[in-house]
Amino acid sequence: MVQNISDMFHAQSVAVVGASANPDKMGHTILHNIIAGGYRGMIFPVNPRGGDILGYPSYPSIVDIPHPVDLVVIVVPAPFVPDIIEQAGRINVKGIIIITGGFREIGNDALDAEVMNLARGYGIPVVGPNCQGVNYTPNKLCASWPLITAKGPIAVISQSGTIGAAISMWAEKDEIGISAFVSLGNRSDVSEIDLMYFFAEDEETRCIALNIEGVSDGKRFIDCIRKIADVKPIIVLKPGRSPEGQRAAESHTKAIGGDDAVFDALCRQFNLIRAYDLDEFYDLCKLAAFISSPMGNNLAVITSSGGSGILAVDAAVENGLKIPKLSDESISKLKEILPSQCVISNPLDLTGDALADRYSDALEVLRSDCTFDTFLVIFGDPIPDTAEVFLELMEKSEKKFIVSYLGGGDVEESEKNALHRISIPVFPTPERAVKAISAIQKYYERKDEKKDEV
Amino acid sequence: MGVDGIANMNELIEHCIKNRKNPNGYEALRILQNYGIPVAPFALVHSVEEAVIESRSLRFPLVMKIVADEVSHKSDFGGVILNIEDEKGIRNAFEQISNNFMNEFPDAKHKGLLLMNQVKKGLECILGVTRDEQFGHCIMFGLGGTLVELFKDVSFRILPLSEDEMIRMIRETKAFQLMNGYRNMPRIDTEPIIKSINCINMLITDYPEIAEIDMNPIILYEDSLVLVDGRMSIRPEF
Repeated sequence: MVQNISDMFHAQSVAVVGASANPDKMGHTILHNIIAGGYRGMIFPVNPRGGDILGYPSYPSIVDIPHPVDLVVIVVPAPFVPDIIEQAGRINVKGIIIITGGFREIGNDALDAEVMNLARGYGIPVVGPNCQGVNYTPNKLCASWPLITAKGPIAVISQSGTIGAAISMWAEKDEIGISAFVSLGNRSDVSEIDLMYFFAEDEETRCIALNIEGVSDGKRFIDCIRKIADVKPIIVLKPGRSPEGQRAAESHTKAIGGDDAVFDALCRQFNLIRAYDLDEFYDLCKLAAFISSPMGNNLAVITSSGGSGILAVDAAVENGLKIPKLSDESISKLKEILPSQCVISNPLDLTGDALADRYSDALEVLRSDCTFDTFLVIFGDPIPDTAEVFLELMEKSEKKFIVSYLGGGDVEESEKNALHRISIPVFPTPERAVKAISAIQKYYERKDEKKDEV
Repeated sequence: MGVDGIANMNELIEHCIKNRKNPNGYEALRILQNYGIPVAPFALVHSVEEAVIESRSLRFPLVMKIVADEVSHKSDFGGVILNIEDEKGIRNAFEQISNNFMNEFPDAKHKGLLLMNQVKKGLECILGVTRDEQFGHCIMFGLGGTLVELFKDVSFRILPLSEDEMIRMIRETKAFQLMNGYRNMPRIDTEPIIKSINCINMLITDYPEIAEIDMNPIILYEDSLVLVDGRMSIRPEF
């Protein structure tokens, strides 16, 4: 299946069945996004009415296309789908995406089964039906919506189209980007498990963002995460706690062990990183996208805002991180170079008039303090040129820098993206930064522990 | 000792599976004991005379409790009597539990009474199994007793699991803090729990039809443990 999915995502040509010149139609949006996304393969709109659509000549059916077709995106109503699968089989396509709904999700199991049997007979993988499509940025293939072109390290696999789209859009806006967005829909064929195996091998993907309400096959899911959870971080958002009393409580163990307690245990056992809300889901993906080795448990906090520094310390302690004292050597060096109003401790308060150069001076000293592997740097005012602070430091040291930028107005927006461009993750609050550090650090610790176990 | 004419424990489970019937409290203890779980010495009795005879191979003080399919919380209606010190106590307890049961379940018939050595105090824990529809059998460990559902100090893992993972599961609970010498309490070794989890894993592997097991309470001591109550339910796999 991994090879099949790879062939599908690396398609050299795409046909959109149900392509339309009418901007209100889904068949227009999909074709438009493939074109506007900069796809470099061949593009074939399919529409029996003929003529040009968005500047590309259309064909009455996929069998009329005089070139090989790798990928077929289907946007026509459900009853027409079996015929198209049949045609796709005859011309040896490598993958099918069925955007259209009207299958199992409305009780039309028979049509769902018919379509899947046909496709399986031809050995063609199918994404969907009833889905929001596939966007694979390494191939500039946005057979999906919204139009997202920013290539980056996060692979988004989502049962909910909206949640997947939201994460992808935030990643684009933050100049982090995605490697892929796959909307699972009914997942009648290609499942989250197949995709996880693919993205584990995909060179463009550094972490996997998985949004599911339930798994498609429990035993296969466990097999899969056993194999790949330590290859790349997998961040899971799984809403839907089962209502209490849904099943008769026959034993204590069953009464307590609702589905969610079991899934939670599974995450801990197999090292999935679980997010409990959408903000956290994105935060964890962001950090996992930038940091790919352990950060240690000792955190140094450098801030221009005393209050924010204390928030960071509280959150750190609550989330199992430590805020050790600065070494005597660091303290005496900092005293020499910093203005007298600075509070020299951990958190190190550079105070409200600090600009980038004061951060540079402080971090230059602290990077030799071997207590710390990781620095949470809080910019609590509109401080420009913050990326400069880190560029040189990152060349000279292996230390990890994580930023929380807040209270910075317009400067904050541009600084945030400048930092993302040099692979420094930026969080809107110190607490969110700390929580993400704690979760990702636990992932790496756990991965190390498991290495030593048989 | 036969159970309803059944010679050994494997036959007993297979009989339960075939007839889709849950083992009763006594049978559950026998099955668990047969797979290596240490259980406090016990006997099933059906009459006062039988109880008196069996008590000679046990050790006072004793505990007597009802064995009946209808009952899920034995102590709620007086189905359990503790601190039985002598033969007179046995007679009184037998009568009292029988009466309490008749009052609570007038149309039911119990399966006998369980006579068991009353064990010394220790840390009351629960070790349980539940079969998740998606992920299969899970093991649960935590603080036990009658208030387990209220406190929910428990931790789960999917079976099978490594011994390192078992230790991680145990460490996630507050029960572990108690085991780890909280306020000068004696330290409790995790090894006996790990052994018991391995026993349970074997049982579940042999009989995946077992859908749930409650071993509650299982009493932990410094370097041993003993089970005093257990139940089990059987449902065919999906």
